[in-house]
Amino acid sequence: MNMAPRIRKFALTAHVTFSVGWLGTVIGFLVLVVTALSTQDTQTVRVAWIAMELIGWFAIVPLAFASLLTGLVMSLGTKWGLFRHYWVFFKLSLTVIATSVLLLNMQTVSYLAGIAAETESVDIAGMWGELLHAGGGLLILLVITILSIYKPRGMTWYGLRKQHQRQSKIS
Amino acid sequence: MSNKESGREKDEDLGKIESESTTNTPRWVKMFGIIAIVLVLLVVLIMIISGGEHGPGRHIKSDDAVGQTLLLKEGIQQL
Repeated sequence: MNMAPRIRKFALTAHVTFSVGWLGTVIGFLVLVVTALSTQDTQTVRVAWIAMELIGWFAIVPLAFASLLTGLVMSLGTKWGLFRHYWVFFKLSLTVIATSVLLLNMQTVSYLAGIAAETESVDIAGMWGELLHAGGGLLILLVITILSIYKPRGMTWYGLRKQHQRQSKIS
Repeated sequence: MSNKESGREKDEDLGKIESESTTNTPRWVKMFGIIAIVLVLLVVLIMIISGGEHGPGRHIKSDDAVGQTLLLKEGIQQL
């Protein structure tokens, strides 16, 4: 099923907006982590945990799902498909992995933010884990962005089979 | 960018779909796969070394999690 050009443009705009937004919010999350790791003020670390929970659940997670959903729409609504081209397949896989790890990691963030909010104590060791998770997430999002822009050549076995089927129908 | 140029880029993008007929796996895909396998093995290794615990549970190993975090707070204040 191919989308009409106007709908395709709208879906593409939405997908790019959500994806870039996801990247931006992860950078914001990383700023909080680095600030918490480089300070000696416990209040700053406490506030960082609380802010990380808010930015995680109300910005990063919704943007991740919106990006995944609009990406699926773009793939299924155009000739690119979901499993026909390696770059699309890798993009989808990386997005699913990043979203899954994000959801798992947010459990930890919520737990530690809860401690920071309720007991006036902080867990600075947990921040190193967040640096690893958010840093890794940012790296994955950059790879996804590069794949989207360069669209490196290469069709999957499934894509080649579909192409042959289409060509044999035409001839 | 002129309309003519953007139109050409669009044609090139969509033209890629039709022009790919090689059955060989591209080199970048092989490289990508190797890097992915190495990273997965690295994550598994880190999880094994750290005792296999991940998520919030790893922060409540001791009987008194709050006590542990309070100690950390005291540690920061001493710095």
